Amino acid sequence: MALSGDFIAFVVLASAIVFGVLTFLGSGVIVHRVVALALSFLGMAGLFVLLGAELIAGIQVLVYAGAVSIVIVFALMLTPSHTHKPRTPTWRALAALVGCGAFGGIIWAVLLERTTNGTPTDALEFAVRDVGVLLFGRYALALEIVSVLLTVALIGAIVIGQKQKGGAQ
Amino acid sequence: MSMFVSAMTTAAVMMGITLGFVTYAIYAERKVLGWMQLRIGPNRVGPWGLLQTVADVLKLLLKEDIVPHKADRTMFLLAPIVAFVPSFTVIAALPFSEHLLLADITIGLLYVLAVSSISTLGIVLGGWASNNKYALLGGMRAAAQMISYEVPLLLSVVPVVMLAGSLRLGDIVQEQAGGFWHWYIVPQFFAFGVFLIASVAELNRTPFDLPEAESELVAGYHVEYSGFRFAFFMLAEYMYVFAMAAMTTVLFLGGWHAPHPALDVVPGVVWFVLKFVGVVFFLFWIRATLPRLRVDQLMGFAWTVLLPIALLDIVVTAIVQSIIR
Repeated sequence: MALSGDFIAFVVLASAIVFGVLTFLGSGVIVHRVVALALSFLGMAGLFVLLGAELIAGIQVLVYAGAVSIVIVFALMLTPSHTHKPRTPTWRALAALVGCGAFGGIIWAVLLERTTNGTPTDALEFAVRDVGVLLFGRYALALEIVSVLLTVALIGAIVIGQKQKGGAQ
Repeated sequence: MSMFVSAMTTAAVMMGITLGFVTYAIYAERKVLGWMQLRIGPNRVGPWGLLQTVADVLKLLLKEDIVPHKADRTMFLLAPIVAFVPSFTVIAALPFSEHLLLADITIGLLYVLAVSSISTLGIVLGGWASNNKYALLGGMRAAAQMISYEVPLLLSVVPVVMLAGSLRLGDIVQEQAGGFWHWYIVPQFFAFGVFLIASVAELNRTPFDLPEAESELVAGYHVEYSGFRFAFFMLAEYMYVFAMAAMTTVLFLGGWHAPHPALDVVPGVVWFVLKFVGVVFFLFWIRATLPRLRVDQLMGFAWTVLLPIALLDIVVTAIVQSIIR
């Protein structure tokens, strides 16, 4: 691949994501972890911009990166105040490594398939208006179902949370 | 490469303009507050006190840069940057006139609102990393307040997007051409009200300045910060005054358009600046007029007053629009 601006941007963003994820997994301080999470979310938004999907990038920042401050608040309120690093057993680390390897292999296969068959420039001509028309026209029912699903999940989380609170008492 | 250089130059020029704005916005705020409280305001440094802010900034820069011993050093150093960078990044997308616009983004409106939400992280982080109870309380209040008021803020711009049919800020202004009765403040007065109130709350300014309530929290989230890092927090705050006033102008006050087509001979930038200054003055005015809200009033107001109005506005706009078409 030539050393174009896109490529440099990709390398910078990808390393930001990887660094963020590694810090998220490795850091012992929970707030550091959340900030690392924000970094990887922002990196992902940057990748979306590189792919020409500006709308998704904007939503990524608004919904995920912007909401990280709430995650910090929850992290501070719901976790013990002393900092500790959870010790991972060796077998679990090995399993994680195998899982990552398998995931990487699948992604690699998918990418090989795509670059030979598909044209990645399709996304560039996709306007916000088209997204809206498709979302509220053809896929309106799917959208509604997903919203109901999310609401159900939200209520379910509250119910489970309350049960656990009652059980502790 | 030349594109990169020109981008950097524009960014530097914009930085100069916004720094100039911040310098004189602080001066104007102190003068206006002074007059409203029957004082004179700053009048010692330079003619009419015009160099007061310059002197203040120099003093801040010369101060010792203190990092508290028990603070989380990395996060403490990072927080002012996290708070400031989005505030400056937002300005790139604002259209000041038909031709004066740095980045023409198709999702301009979404971009501005999304990027500005990251600053909350800097404030919460600063409050937590200081390892100080007042700072943490201020940071927590900031998180609660900014997240609550972001919801009505986002919803209040939806009717504008529905009328304009675009998320591009330039298009939104273009749709408001042809006299002040075309400005969105007329058909969307309630959305305008919700937006204005929610933006004051997002700016953490009086009457919504609970995160830095000096009489209860010493100074809130930035109590442990000194010198340059404190200046960064302050700078971010006034940058957002700049961005929010510009957004109000763009979304509801017709941007660079003249109030009447006959006045089009005056360049658009002049109109933009006039409206912009009007909004900024309004922010100073309510600061001098209204007392600070209590925490319980604050949250109730966002969820039980602003949110229903914004939602109702969206529904009514949708109904009216479908009838007209």
